[in-house]
Amino acid sequence: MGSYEGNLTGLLPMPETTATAAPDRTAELTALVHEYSGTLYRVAFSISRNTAEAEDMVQETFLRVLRHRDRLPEIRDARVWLIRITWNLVLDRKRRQKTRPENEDISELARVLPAKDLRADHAVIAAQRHARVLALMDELPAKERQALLLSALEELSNAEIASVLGITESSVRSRLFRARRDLAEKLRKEGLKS
Amino acid sequence: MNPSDPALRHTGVDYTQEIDGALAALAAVRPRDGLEQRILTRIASAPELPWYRRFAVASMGHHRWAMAAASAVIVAGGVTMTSYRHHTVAVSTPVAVHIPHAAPQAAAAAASVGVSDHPLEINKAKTRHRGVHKSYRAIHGRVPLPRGTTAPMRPNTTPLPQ
Repeated sequence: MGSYEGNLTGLLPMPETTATAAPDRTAELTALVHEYSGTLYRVAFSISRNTAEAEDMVQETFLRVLRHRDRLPEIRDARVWLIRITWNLVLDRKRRQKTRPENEDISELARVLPAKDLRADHAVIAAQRHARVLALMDELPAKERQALLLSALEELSNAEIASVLGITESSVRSRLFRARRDLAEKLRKEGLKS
Repeated sequence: MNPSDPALRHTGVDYTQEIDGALAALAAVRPRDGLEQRILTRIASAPELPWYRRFAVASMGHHRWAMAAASAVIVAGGVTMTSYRHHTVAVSTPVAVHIPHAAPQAAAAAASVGVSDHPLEINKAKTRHRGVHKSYRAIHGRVPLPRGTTAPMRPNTTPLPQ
């Protein structure tokens, strides 16, 4: 995960220098779908906490890419670029859906969250605890919360998180620090035992 | 994250494992099967893409035989239609159709002098009188005849007293 440079060097052709017709980018687009759709789904789900909405956002992301497919050769890091598109789309939709709080239904979130525990009863309890922690995470300030969510997804580096959020790496580090500190404080007040 | 994280040290209880566990659970969420296929189908139906590129975007792996069968039906239909249209043995039978043609000339107008059949030629003789023509004398029976002439013999007319 450390390489921040573009990983499409072998995937996308170099920018066209001749004045011929625009090349077909459908093959590159298909490759992007197969490679990054899962990642983008998790990015969208981390904010929306809704499976259908997350999938819808991923589809919308690739439709945006389709509209601007002529710019694909200019993209240095397609992974960060796509995450940023999805991130902005989901945040934009969230702003327009102010009526429904994110932590409205914890039990529904606990049902969706996977649990690695083999015993069913332990898995259910763990999923419910995770859902409660995520609900408290939603109460954090937006800047800290977003940095914390991105740090968990696909193990993005601080430089990649900074690129997605449009801030510096030092800001990412300070936001992560504050987010974990405040969340731990909320957990302590909530009375959740570690 | 290090359990001795200074961000969590002041709280007394270490919640690092709790937080990391929740974040890991969130990161482990997987979409429903076939997400890529659904995305490609959506892209293929997008109006931004030309119709001839939509086949290239949508993966035809699962529909290969269906596409082959549909192509065969289309080709066979085209061949059948072509051979039917160029059938040399077919005998043409006269069909009663209405072909636009010039209106037939009225007998009197056609027999009169100066009537022309040319469509662009102005012919006053064809258009001056319309309907049933009656002479002035036929309408006004009391008009005296010119001197030296006699009235025609008609069944319902009585000769005027001279």
